[in-house]
Amino acid sequence: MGLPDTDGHIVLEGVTKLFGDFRAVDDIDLTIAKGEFFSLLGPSGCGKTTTLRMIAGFEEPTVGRILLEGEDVTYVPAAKRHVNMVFQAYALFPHMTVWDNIAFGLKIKKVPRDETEQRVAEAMGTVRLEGMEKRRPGQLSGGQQQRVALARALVNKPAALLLDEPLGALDLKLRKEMQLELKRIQTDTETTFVYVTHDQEEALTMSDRIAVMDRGLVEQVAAPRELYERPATSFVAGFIGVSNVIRLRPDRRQDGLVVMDAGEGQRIVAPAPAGGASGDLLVTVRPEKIKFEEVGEPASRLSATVTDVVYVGSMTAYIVELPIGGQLTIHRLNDEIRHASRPVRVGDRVTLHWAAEASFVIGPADETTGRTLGEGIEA
Amino acid sequence: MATTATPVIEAPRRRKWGRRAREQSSGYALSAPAVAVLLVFFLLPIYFIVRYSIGLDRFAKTEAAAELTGELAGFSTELWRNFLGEGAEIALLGKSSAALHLPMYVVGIVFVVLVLGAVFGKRLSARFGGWIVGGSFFLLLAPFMTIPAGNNLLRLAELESGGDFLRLFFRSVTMATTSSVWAVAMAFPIAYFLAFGIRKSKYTWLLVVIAPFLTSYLLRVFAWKLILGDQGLINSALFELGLRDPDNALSFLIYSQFTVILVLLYAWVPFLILPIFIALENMDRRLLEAGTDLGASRLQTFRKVTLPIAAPGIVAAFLFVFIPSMGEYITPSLVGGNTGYMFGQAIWVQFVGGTLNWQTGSVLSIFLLGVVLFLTFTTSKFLRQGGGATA
Amino acid sequence: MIARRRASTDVAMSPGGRRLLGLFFVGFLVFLYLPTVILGIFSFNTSTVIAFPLEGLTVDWYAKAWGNAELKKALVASIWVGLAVSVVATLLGVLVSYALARRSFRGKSVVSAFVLVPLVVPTVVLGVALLVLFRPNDPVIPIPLGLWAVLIGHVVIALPFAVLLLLPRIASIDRRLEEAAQDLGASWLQGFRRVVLPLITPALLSALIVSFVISIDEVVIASFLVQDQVTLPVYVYGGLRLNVTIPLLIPIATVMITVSFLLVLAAELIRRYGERRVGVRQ
Repeated sequence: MGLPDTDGHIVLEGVTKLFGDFRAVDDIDLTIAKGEFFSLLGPSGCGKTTTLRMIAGFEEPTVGRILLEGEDVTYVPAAKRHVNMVFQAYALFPHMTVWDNIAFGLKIKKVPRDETEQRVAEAMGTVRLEGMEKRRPGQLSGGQQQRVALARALVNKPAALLLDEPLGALDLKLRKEMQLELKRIQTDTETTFVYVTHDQEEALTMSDRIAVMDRGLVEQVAAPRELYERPATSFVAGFIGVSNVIRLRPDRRQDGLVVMDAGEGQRIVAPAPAGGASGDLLVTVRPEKIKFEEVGEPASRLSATVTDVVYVGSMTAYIVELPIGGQLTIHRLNDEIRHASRPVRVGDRVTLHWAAEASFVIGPADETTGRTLGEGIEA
Repeated sequence: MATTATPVIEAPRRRKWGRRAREQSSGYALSAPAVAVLLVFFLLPIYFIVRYSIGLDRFAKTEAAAELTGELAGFSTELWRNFLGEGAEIALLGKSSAALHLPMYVVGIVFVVLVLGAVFGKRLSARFGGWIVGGSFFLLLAPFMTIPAGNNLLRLAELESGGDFLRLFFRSVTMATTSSVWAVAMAFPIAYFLAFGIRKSKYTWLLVVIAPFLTSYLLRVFAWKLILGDQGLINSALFELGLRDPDNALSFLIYSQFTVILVLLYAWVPFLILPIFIALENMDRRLLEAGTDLGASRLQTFRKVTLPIAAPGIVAAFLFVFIPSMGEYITPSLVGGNTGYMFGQAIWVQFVGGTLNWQTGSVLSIFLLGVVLFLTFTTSKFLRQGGGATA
Repeated sequence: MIARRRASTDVAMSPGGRRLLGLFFVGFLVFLYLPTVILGIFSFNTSTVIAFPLEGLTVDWYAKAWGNAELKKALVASIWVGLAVSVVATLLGVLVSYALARRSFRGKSVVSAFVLVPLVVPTVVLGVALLVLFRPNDPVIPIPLGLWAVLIGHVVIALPFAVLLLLPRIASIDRRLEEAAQDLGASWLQGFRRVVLPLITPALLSALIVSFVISIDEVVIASFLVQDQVTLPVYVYGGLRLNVTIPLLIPIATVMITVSFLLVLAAELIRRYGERRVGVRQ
């Protein structure tokens, strides 16, 4: 991953975790910078939570080491690490008031009373919980409990805050609010956040960088935009947003493009990969880039049959089947459709168009064998 | 980026005391005090009564004293042979029916093999667990059924030969069974009513029903002594009403097997209600409705749905009562008199009550312990497979 | 909810059957409580003979029982033993329950079976076994027979009850609460004291009460192990067997049963309060 160890605020070096014979985490290297909002994203069972728990100190790696602020903490117990965690389902102490929950860490560290009061008040202000001091967790809503959990961790001014699916228990509306809130808190407090989630949208909204994990391996570490537009593997392409992956057998190369002819004027066009490798390529195209109308050349052009039309609020999703084999998903904003002359219906034969630069070559098809499109897509 | 080939794991840089090892050792450390107490004050004493039972230890310290107590002086299985061997023949078959000996031995050996197979073999126990539990009870009861009704035992202090003790054991088993069966028969309707018939605050009623069990056992027996005695409440009331002559009290009320069985029933019935109630309460009520939807009558629903689901709870309840009743000592000593005494008292007599033969007493204790542990072990295995419904 | 319950009642029994069962239930309650009530009534009767008709109202027996020095000593002995048993059994129970609920170690299933076995061992057998262990001439363990021996015997039989009360409670606490405490810098002991202990307080009190009740009611083991100073149940048992001091024993029995009832009630109320406070997590 390029970056030298010393730059990292949190560094994982060749970390592997075995549970019996099961490889929960398989030789991963990660470098997380100070003040970064870093997400570990992947389907359940991909090893993201285990990775987080190793950073927190609840699990010890089988192999490898973990550095925190340049110090080897691989075998330092959780209590002695300067990181704090926001647990899934919050793990608030049910027998303590909100104030006591938040002050817990400071009391353990024997921080003087005045300072404790002041820091707790400050933390409660940060998460906007003023006036709730005397309540017990059982009397709070899910969103409020979430804030208490955040405050309880933040009050210790940790070197990094570790969050394990913190929004999982909230309903959709609250989740959206809390996403923005979390980002604000992270910016305000300038704290490093390591955020575990299986929700790609959540990760894309908040993160500075995202590590996509699958089956204990890190598939790609990149900024959200890059992940979306330049996925490194078909798994990433499939997991981040809805993506169409096409296997392309180049018939010819011209003007920095690879072209596959499919007969009857049909063709797929994509930017040629740098290496100039021969053989099949995996190409992805985002559903919103495919049009039913002509687009400027050079462009791909395929005929297809509509098999399903799904109305999803602001847009409509069309599932089409290609005569050359395979399915594609197409998104169109409903505003656009209203202006179209005739609505597209199930059973219609349509011609699809998308610009050459909308196709992105993931890589040679044989390198990603074993990972077919659609696998592991849960979101 | 994406690591596709799985790298070979190098020699792990692990610490000598990994987290697992620390977890293990702290588990042992936390368990240690309780385990140590039980080892020294529970297992060790049982080991010593085993020693007594095979003559390795004796109560008498001098030869003269040993002469008096008639204790054995070294390793010998004589007491066990006396108790189980010759004694068993008399107890099981009576003196005359020698012809039955061989078939009984064969049945016994087949049974033992089956039991061992059931306990240690998974497939066998899954298939025959129920039969074996049932069989154990039958084996316990069968001998008593062969003893002619109304046989009179000796006075407690006069029991001597192994056969006497074994007969007493079987009689105690029968008394315990009788009272347990009646207790279950009483507890089931109560549990059923609590689970299905009460609409408001059923848990409070449950507590009301169970609470007496948590008060002193001894004192509840005491209360019955007052009620049932020759000069007790029932008899004195009968005298008062002129229904019976004061010289001719209803004597079976106290100091009889009947009294022991009644008081055991009274003492244990509240405790029985709990497991049955739990089994019924945990049952999915929609099953009942489904039953009637399919056109079954209430009785059919009860028989085909409720009873099978409650069965493990009932079996567990029966055992909860049967096991302690078998070794009962307080109740028969207070209300059993000369005809209602039980096996537990025989042990007491051998140790402190008069005869003072600790070796014989140890044989009886180990035997009782063995039967109880065997029943507990087999049935808990059966319950775990048969019905997870019981708590 | 109510509609469903009513429906299942109708399915489970006909109205007539329900009335019949209700009648049986009432009869059962009478059967269950009448002997105790009679004990209470006769504790106030003037006559020395326990027979109908009742003669007159008196509290003499209570006064006499209270004035009986031997009885008082037995009571004091029982209370001391009971308190010691409840503390020791609960302490051992907490430690082993925590290990069973939270640690994985080899032989765990053996340990969990071992601490529960005393439940099914007949008390007569345990009594004689301990008598052998502490036998006056040449004891295996040099503890003289007497109240200390009784205490030990009662700890053995109370321990499984303490474990049965504590283990499910500890197991039901979310593991992440302890992790959260450690994450916030608490050592294991601090986490245990500040998080686990407050959450199991109701179960802890129940275990203390139940162990105490078990000890103060227990007569079989005690009667094997006492020497000159008897415990209260042993004293009562002796009186009952000899049929001499029965009028004196009735008020004691009444008081003991009443106290037991109150303790059971207290334990139950504590449990309910605890569940409400923390919010039951099933």
